[in-house]
Amino acid sequence: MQTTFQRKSRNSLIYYVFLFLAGLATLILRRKGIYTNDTYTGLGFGILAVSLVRIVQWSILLRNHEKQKCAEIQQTDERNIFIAKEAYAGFAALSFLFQFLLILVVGIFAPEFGTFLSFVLSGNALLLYLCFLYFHKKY
Amino acid sequence: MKTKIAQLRKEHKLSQEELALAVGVTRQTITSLEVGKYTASLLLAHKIAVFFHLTIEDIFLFDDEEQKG
Repeated sequence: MQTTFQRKSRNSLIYYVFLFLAGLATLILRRKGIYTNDTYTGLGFGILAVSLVRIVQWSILLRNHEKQKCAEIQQTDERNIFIAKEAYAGFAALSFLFQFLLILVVGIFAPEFGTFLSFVLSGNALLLYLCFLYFHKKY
Repeated sequence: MKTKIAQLRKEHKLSQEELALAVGVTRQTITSLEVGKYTASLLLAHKIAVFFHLTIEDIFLFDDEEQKG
């Protein structure tokens, strides 16, 4: 019988397989000329490399009971979870600040792009508010 | 928050790794608890108290000034 952690590990493996396919698709689309920018070549290779490494890591983990136990403790450790949540909160706050500063600077040199960025920032703010409402209701 | 975890661990002749394994956390969490950098959740505090056969109040030292802060 599979434990919760084994099920989560298998789901992570499947997620990275899909990510690998997404990386491959990006490269194929770039080769076919659908993406014309070289940035997509780097993006495709990056996604391929990261997902391949994670697929190998998760595959090894699923076969090794001792490594599974260590990984489970690392992932369920409350201090690690607390640190991740604090990091995400800090990231969100700094992200908003940098986006706002970028809008102010870009608005001087490329006003249309500044307008576009302000819509992106507004969308992010709306998303944050919706997340807040969701967790407020949940807890 | 100050705790008596380090003192109790040494009395029981346990390493940080052994205590961490016993209560289901990482060694780094035990280190952080012992130096007071991290405050345990109620669940973890209960697990540690049960492990040492003591109450939470015996192990975790609540400071009135900390509570006001």
